Amino acid sequence: MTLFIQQVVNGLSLGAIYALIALGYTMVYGTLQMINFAHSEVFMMGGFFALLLARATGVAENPTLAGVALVAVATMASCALLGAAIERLAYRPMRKSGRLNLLITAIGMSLLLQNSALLVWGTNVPFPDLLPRHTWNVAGVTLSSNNLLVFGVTIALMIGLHHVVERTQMGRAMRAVAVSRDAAALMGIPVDRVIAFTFALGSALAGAASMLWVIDNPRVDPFMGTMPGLKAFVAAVLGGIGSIPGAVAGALLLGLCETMVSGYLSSTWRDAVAFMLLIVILLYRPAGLLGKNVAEKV
Amino acid sequence: MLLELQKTGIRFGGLRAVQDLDLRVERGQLYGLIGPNGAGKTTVFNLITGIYTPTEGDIRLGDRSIVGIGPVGVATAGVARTFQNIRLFGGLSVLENVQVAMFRHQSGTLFESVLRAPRFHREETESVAAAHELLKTFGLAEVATLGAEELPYGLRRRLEIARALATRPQLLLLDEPAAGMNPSEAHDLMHLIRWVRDTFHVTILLIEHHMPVVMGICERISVLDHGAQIAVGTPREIRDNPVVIEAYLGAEVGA
Amino acid sequence: MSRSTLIGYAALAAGLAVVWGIEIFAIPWTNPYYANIAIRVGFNLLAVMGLALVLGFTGQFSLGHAGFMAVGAYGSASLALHAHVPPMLAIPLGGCMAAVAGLAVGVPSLRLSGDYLAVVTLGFNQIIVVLVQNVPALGGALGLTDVPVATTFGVTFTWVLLGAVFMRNLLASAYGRTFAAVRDNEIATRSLGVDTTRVKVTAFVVGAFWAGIAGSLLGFYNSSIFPKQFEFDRSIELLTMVVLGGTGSLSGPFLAAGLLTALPEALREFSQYRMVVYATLLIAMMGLRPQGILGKHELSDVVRGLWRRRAVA
Repeated sequence: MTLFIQQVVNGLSLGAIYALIALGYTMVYGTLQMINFAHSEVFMMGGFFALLLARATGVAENPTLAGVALVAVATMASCALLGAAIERLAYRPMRKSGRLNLLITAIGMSLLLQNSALLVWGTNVPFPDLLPRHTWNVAGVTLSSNNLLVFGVTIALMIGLHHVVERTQMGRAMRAVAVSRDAAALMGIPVDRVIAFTFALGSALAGAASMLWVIDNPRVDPFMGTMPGLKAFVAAVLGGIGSIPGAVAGALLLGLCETMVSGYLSSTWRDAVAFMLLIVILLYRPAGLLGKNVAEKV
Repeated sequence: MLLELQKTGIRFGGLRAVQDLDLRVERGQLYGLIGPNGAGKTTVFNLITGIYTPTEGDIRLGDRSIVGIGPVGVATAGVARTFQNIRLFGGLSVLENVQVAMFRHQSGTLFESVLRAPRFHREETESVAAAHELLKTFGLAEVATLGAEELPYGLRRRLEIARALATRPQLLLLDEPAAGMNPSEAHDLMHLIRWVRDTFHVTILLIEHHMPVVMGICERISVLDHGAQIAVGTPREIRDNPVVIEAYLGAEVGA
Repeated sequence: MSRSTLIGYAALAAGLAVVWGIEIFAIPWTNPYYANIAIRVGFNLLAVMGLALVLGFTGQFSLGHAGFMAVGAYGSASLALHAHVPPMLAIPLGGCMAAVAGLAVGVPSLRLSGDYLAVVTLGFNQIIVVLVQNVPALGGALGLTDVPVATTFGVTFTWVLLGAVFMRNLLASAYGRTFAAVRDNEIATRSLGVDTTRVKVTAFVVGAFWAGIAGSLLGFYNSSIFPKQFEFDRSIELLTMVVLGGTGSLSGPFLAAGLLTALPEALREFSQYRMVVYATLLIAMMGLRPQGILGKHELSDVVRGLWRRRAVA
């Protein structure tokens, strides 16, 4: 039983990070109907941004809580800029030329970022310990300060996101564009700006995710985004891509499944679980758990 | 009786797109389906061709139900159609578009194709000849080698009809065949449709907005409004029916 | 037998004669470095051929093509190692195993379209890699070693020739037309009584078979195989070749596979830039010429076009 509860804690912690990444996939899919393959590389770049910022500000040598918070916010901002820049430079010119082309552009962007990072920074760069790590033992279950940090930050960002999407002008515009880009344009909504904002918002969340990730796994690597990115994408599809609550639910479910497999079977099978789950769910509910089926209009 | 819809209906969520539709098309008939925009005419076609499955009622072709057998099953049962927004194979030539429709009558296997076995050659020669024959009767012989995308609009409609006929259907559904044509082109098309029916001994059900076309060639007409049938009869009966006039004037007068 | 068929078979025989002529009279005196490059080009020609069929001609977005290479490679190598099947028999059997895998993946997943299919095939690729990593009989992360060496230039290009003729004949047939029909308009294809799922599965199975052949040849060439060779980025590499060469062309992807395999070898000292160049090429190509170098055309069309232009001038 303690093993089970331990894995629930670990699973929710992992799932929360997946959720932050998955939101970027799902929001972009909602507005542009594209899989932004480069999103996992925004997450990866977030790790390097955090490293560079921590070194530049001296937080790396001399970590304070305020300093770390500052680095985190700056990382999110850098990721937001990067996401918006990718959209502006690579995707916007391609928007009219079909979904396959857009998807291939995204794959190209992802490869470009990975390999540029590889050339510039190399692999497996150590990340400084920014926060002291406390662990508590509650009835045999280990709870770490990192777990609490992940839960706290994720919940705060979710509340913030909910507020942006539901209460602000920009959020309403995002939802309008998701329903119909053409209709939104006719209503005078600046569609280009809304799409850029969607990318920035999703990328900022990915930046937060990478900050949490590197605090827990203190290494940055050009390929560190691939697996979490794929998993987060799977989570978004599980929940029904385009749906914000769906992405969160899918991510938590996926995190739980993975840690359960690690805990009860073997951690080497962990990576296969996500994809098996994906395939099974897609075959029975092709639009995801919370998604709606949309058929081509004849 | 070739086609019979019995109390057929479909709901999309809360919306009843088509309800309680009874439609009886006799073998060899030229039947018109009219109604204001959004009346559910194309939905009826999608129900018949298996793209949608009715949530109520039955659809019978000859003596069997074709509900739930899917688009391929319906096509195999002998129903062919054209689409309101023309759906040709843009990457294939005009001739090849027609040849695709003959695929289901061919029995050569993949290995016979790859090994260029005698049956491959025989079937290929036959399908080219048959497709050419069909294109000739539709005035498309000269453009047979062009890409389907290079055709002018009017010829695309013709090609789509020719392609549908190449499946050798019993029942042909035409979704607004005269859309986008001027009156003289529409007039020619009207003759073509009647000629197709007489030559190919096929039953035709068509959706059309051009009233002269519908009134000129259809032997029987159903009028749909808000997903329900409000009138059925000969062109003369429809023309004089006050309910129909009301539906059209209440909505918009058909072009 | 018709005249065109006879010419076709004669051309194949001539091609085989040339390949084996090179094998016997040229390869022994060729710098092994160049022979190696040529053989690797051959593997990629075989692998890219299947993806060209699935993606270019049938319009189905598969991101897991390397997974089928893995099935072929591991399948044939295991047959040779554990059952002592001679490599020349194990190679086509490896292709058949990949084809079976293609059937198993294709039947359920080809109901999905577009992005979803891309994700499922990607997932399949990952699952295959995890699977071979975790099965002790397949050597785990280290892979299989001591696979008998059997792949030579002649063997590779015999398969390439067979594959090219297979594809050409398939595409210029009633089946070939149904592939294009599915790509151009699936709903219309179904309305003509063509079972589109079947068409897509056929493309998938055929594509998987040739990927499996490529994988088998690879194993019998290197004498070892390991999971890393068949990961997702390998699928992306093949995708790049098809997209650069032209979706809807066979010789276009062949050209791209040749260039993208041979060029990085020639520019060895720039090897760390290889993937950056790939990525930039992909993005630039999408912006400048999204249909690929040859688009829907074949090399023969281009040559004929040039010829005609010269004749007019």
